[in-house]
Amino acid sequence: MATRTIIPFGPQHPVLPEPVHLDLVLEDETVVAAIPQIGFVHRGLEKLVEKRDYMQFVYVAERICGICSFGHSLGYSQTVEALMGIEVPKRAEYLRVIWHELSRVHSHLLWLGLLADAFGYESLFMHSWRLRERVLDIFEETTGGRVIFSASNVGGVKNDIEDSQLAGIVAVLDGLASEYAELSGAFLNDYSAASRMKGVGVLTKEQAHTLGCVGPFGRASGLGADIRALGYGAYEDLSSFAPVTAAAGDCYARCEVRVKEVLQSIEIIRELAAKIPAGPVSVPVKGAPEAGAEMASRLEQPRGECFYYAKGNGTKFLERFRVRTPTAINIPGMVTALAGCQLADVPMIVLTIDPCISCTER
Amino acid sequence: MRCEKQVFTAIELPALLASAQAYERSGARFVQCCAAPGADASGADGALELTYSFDTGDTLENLRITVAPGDDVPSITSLFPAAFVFENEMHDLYGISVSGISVDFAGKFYTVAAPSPMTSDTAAFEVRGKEGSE
Repeated sequence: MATRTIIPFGPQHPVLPEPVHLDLVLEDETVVAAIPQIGFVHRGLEKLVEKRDYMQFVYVAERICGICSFGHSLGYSQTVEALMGIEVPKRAEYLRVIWHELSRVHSHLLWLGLLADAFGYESLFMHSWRLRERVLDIFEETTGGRVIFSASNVGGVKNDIEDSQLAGIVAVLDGLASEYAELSGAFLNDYSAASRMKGVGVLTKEQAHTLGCVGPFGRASGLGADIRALGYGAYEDLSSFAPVTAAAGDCYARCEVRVKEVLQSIEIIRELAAKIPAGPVSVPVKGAPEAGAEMASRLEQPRGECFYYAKGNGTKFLERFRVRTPTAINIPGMVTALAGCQLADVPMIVLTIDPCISCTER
Repeated sequence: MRCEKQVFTAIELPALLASAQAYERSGARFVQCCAAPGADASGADGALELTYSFDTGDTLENLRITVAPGDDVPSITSLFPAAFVFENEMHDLYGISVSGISVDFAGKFYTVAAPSPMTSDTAAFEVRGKEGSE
């Protein structure tokens, strides 16, 4: 047996914007095992639910993550609404999904840029983030914020988007989509990019299922799980929805799924913008969740299924609020995908689960 | 909004592994497990509720177990390896003893300022690094 060496990877590493640590057990250049560690910046935001009432806490939930900020405010809001039996106006549900899908577009473009940077394709990184900037401009135009929007709250959304403004957003996305077609070709067809990703960090469909993998990471291994297919919110009004999947389960497949999901999100926004109903965007909310009432709900964040749980105690303060983020459940899959890879491929594999430690360290 | 179909089923602690095994054999996907203050909302008796969630395809099924301080909870990582993240979390944040975790961090998974911080009154916390700063 070859001599085994343990190499620490992280918590500070050029490919990681946030701290996560791996002990890599190597035989020569081959990784035979990886032991993960998180918890360096755990913030205990779930505990804050005891100090902020259920209307205030939406702003805390939104700050769980800077990339999926809108998704967390939406996930929290819809959990509390279900807990209290609040019916949200249809227009608000459409607006929520439009902002949520815009968040997916910007998250995936951000990830594609980081991927290009990781395999040394600097211009591709810059072009990815250039396109992402247009989505951030839409956020700023419609909510006043580029990272934290405070647009969703319990009972609906805070501000409407005029129909003329929606038409403008669709026009921006049409322009973005045509430029993105050229950009995505570089990710999927470029020889250099493919050579870094094809056959690297393979996770089979069976492994992905056993390990509970979610989001593009799981779908790249052939799992069909996408919470949007359950038809929550305005997703139930889509003419059709089928999760984007791939079969290879390698880094290239994860890239392919995200590349295609950007176009899918733009298509969803187009359809909803065309048929959004008129009407109010929020309802007044009174009272408090009943003592002992509890509710779980799930949302498809850009990185995958996010689980929310809330329990009431008869006051305006929730008894318990729980978030299980996609990265937390994808860590075991990432560790499995690392086993057997070459040391030089570790950053690429870690990156392709799109780890969000900010979410995980909620 | 339209609520996702979900059920909460109360079971006794000794039935946890058998129930989890039934989900594993049926092909259900492990979603998460977490702890929360128990039926006595004041937490006076220190009881905690554990919730194990599984996706069976069309329903989110949740197993509910109430544990008392000192109870030993068996790990389900032999059936659902992904549970190690959440079982270590239950130990570090709630002080729940979980035995047989496949990757057991023995209390070092989270760096916390106080033991079992999620069961304590936050007002009682000491802020690290502030000693003698004023």
